[in-house]
Amino acid sequence: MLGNNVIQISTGKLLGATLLPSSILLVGGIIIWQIWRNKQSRLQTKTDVLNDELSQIKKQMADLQTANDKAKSGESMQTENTPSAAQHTNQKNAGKKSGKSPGEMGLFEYLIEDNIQLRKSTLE
Amino acid sequence: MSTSTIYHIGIDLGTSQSSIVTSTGKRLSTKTCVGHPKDVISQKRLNKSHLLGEEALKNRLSLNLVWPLADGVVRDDAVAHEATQLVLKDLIQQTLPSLEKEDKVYATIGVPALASVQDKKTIISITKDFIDKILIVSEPFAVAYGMDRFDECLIVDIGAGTTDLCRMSGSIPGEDDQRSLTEAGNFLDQTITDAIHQQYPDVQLTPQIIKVIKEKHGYVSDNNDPAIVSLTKKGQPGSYDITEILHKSCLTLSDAIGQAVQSLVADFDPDFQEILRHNIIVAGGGSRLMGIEKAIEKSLDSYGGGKASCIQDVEFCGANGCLKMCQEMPENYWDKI
Repeated sequence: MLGNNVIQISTGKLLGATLLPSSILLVGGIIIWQIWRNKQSRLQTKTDVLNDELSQIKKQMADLQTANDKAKSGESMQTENTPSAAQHTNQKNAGKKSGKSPGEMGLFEYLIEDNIQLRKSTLE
Repeated sequence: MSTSTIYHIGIDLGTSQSSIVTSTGKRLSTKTCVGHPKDVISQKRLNKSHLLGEEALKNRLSLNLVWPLADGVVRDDAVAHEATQLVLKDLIQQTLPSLEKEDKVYATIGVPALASVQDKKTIISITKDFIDKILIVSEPFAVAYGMDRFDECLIVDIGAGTTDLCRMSGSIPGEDDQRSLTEAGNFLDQTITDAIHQQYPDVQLTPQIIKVIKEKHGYVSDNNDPAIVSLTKKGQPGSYDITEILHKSCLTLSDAIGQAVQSLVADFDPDFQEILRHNIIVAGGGSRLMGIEKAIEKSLDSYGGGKASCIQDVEFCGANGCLKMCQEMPENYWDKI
């Protein structure tokens, strides 16, 4: 009887001594993992929000750029069927570019002449 | 009354990579290749008449790939012409999505320094349906223009098909101021492939594998980390030391460039040679090769030394210069074309 009791008590203590720390470790591990996972998902959410905002800003910038370009081009807007308007546009552009140095104008002239020759030979 | 908007674009049409920059601030770079489905199965799987750029490369096993440019210019056959059209149209559509029928596109396209009249005519001919006005310019000159470098400097543009050199001296560069070499990216790829096969005969290589190796390990400096790469031999993977192979192969490219730089320096006005030697700008994809600027400087040691630097925006520097030229060209000049 006494022997059985001693065995039971020893077994219980042994199990307690081995299982309890393992259980504590396991539960602790699960809690830490849960905290880490929550943190990760929060970070992911924030990153997604920031990415969305970034793409919206990019889109807005592109739209602004397009609008700006259209506005600029508005000055050189051509009315295909009205030569006078096209002529006016050309005069305006020539005026706008008149700030260029003679050297730069010479360069453009050379490039255009070079390309005219090329185009002429294409048509031949 | 119908109104139209004029869009300006700068294009760097390259053998391996093409880039576009538009007046709307958009820019895009893509591989200059087109893939057509090989058979009905690939046609059904891809559900497209053709794929372009990286998408085509990813699906290359199902496609007949076309690289329409060779040595920096459009190959002279109908397939290449059509492929170039597709690439250019796609670049324009992607960067100018709001382009309408009545709008106009004015473009400047960079070509190799000494491209023939026929090569330039080909570009004009294949773009006439979707580009209203086109200006063809020397690619290295476009790079210089983009950087506002008209003073004494030497542009070395290392592309895939050609390496173009342009000597700037405050005036419009003539033919004597320019060199176009076929020793460029593709040449280097072939040299590396041959050298690896010579040392490891049964190793399996593809152009893509070589490109990855070159971009990761390619160098021309005296010292570099060992280049140990993983390759397959009859399907079995293994590690191969190609440090020496890469070094020797890359030197064949840098030596050729060095000689061209030397010749451009040598026949320049002696009073300005020193300035020229100290203002060498290396552009193009090949400028990513580790130590290339040092190798060029080294080639000038016997000439009194030099200073070379690599450009930052490698992918778009040519297209940026083209766009700048395109936008600054007065409207009345455009009307002459």
